[in-house]
Amino acid sequence: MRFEIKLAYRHLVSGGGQTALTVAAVAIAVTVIIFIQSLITGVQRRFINDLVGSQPHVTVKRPDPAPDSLARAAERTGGEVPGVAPGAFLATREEKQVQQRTDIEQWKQVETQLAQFPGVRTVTSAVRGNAFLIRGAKRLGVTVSGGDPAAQEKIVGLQEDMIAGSWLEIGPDDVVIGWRLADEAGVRLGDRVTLQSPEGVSASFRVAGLFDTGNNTADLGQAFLTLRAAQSLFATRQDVSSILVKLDDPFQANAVADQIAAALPFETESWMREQVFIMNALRSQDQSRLMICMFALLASAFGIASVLIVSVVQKSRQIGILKSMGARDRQILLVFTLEGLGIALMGCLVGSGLGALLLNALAQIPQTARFGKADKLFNIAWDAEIFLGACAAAVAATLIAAILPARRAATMNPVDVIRGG
Amino acid sequence: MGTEAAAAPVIVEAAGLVKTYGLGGPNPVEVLHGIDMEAREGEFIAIIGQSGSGKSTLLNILGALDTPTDGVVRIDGVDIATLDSDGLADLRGRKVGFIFQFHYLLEEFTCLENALMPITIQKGAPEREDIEYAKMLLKRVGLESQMHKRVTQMSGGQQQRNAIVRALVNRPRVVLADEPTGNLDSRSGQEVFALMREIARETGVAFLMVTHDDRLAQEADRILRIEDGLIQEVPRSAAAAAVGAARGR
Ligand SMILES: Nc1ncnc2c1ncn2[C@@H]1O[C@H](COP(=O)(O)OP(=O)(O)OP(=O)(O)O)[C@@H](O)[C@H]1O
Ligand SMILES: [Mg+2]
Repeated sequence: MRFEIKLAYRHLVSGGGQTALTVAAVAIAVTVIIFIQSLITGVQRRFINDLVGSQPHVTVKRPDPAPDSLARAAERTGGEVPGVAPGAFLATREEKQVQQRTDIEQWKQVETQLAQFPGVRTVTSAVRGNAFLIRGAKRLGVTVSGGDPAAQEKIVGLQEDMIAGSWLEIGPDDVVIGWRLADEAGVRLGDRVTLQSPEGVSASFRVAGLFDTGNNTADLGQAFLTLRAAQSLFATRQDVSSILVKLDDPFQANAVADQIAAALPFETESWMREQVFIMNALRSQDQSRLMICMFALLASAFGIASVLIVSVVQKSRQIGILKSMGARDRQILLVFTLEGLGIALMGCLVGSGLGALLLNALAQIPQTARFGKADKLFNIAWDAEIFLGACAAAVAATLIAAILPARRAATMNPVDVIRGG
Repeated sequence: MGTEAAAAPVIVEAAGLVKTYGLGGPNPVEVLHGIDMEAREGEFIAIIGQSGSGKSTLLNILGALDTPTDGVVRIDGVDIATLDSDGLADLRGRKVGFIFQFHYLLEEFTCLENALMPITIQKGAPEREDIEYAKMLLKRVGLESQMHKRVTQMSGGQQQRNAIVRALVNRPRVVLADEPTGNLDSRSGQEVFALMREIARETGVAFLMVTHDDRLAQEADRILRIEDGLIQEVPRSAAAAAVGAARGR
């Protein structure tokens, strides 16, 4: 092995410009991969965080009653009611039944069970439902989420998005809403609003806090209460309507949701299924970045292969004489493979350095502050895996590129190449 | 002297050696039609013949660099037909030294490193005694002051002497030299030849040298001529006469 390393090393050193060129080819590929991956991963992470940062990844509920039983229930009540379309009648029936049956008793126990599933980070119970926020003549539809603020915080992560008032310390008389909703309703911190539930309960709350998640739907349509307040608003007594689950990896939501649904007598919702369009967009983004990386690798692999082929042809006499001195085919193969490896490793080193510099420069660019929350324009993912992955891919591509020239060198017939000077 | 050599053990032996190029192609050419020969320890043999007669072909086969189409070749008692490609490579590395018309030194290495190349290939790195031996040989051929120079910094004669040391450094049983002086001017050609002749005697290798120079051939122990694909021994006196006749003209 020492002979092969020595010769490969000398070839690379004496190769000079040729070696530098191939190293540059690998380095550029590595830089491109690191750059693209870190940028897109970062952008996606921020996007996902904005999107599902304030949502549970999986929501666990009591299963809805089967539609045919509803139909039977409709029959029992005597079918059509004059003046009301059958569909409308069914809908109201359904809503009522759902409302009655989706509450989860024994929720403390279920929470413990859910926490056992792999990949589950946090579990908390909540009473969730739709309600109207009423202020003067305005009636705005909101999704109300009631739970222990500290426990809910782990799911929705509101604290960092708070722009006014308080959240974690709220009492049963308080509501926390998004700034857009406050804007729409024309309320300020400390003002009182009324919430009215489909159960017909109305209650007055004080706007104790305002948040800005950056997600319009949340900022315009969500309201947070304490558990007790929500329980009385939705008339659930001591029960909760859903258990919210946050995962370590948001993209495992479908898998975990299915596991829970299979193991426990509950229905589950995964954020990924609710947001199909976004998932598709992310997927196509993944595909395009994969394409870019593949092309970068391919281009550098072709460059390396052609330079190595030229170098093998240039060195054919030398290969012949080495064989006449007793070098085995495998040794010659190894020499040129090691050259490829050397180029790849140097390329990775240079490429990683360049990639880091580039990312660093990009990460410095500031974004105009929004409500005093200073933010960077690019959310760069500084993952060791991205660097290692780029290097591994480059090494693999370079070795594959080196196979052909190295084999050509190894199988060269010494008699043919020595003949003729 | 002839009787003395005859008593020494045979190092290289060919029997019924046939070489056909382009076998399986449209027009195969049989270059060697059945060569029988042997070279003994300490013998210095000159091989002569017209251009294209098959001298290089024979030499390459005798050094296990090429394989015969038919016939048997034994190097130090080993039938090369029994060896695979790695076995042949190892045999070349341990028993054979090649010298070509061109030095084929590796430009990336120094004179000493080139001299030690067969050892490096075999062992990965030369040991101290290998280095001592190489230095001794380099001194012997007058390259003492060139040892750490790059190949490109040496003259043609120096490069060829470097190549000679490289062929001898692994203490081979046979050295095969294909027109080793062919690329040198007559004076350095003479010097190189004299060196090879002396070192061959000192080390006891079987030395086969292809040459176009009849005067050099005259100084060999035996002269073999290849003609029409066959080999024949040329009596030294006859060769001398031929050379004399050529000079007389
Ligand atoms: N690989 C090959 N394929 C086909 N023919 C070949 C091949 N190698 C050599 N020959 C032919 O075999 C014959 C002998 O070649 P060889 O090189 O052994 O001659 P030589 O005696 O060494 O000649 P020279 O004195 O010019 O070096 C020549 O006619 C040559 O054309
Ligand atoms: Mg020849």
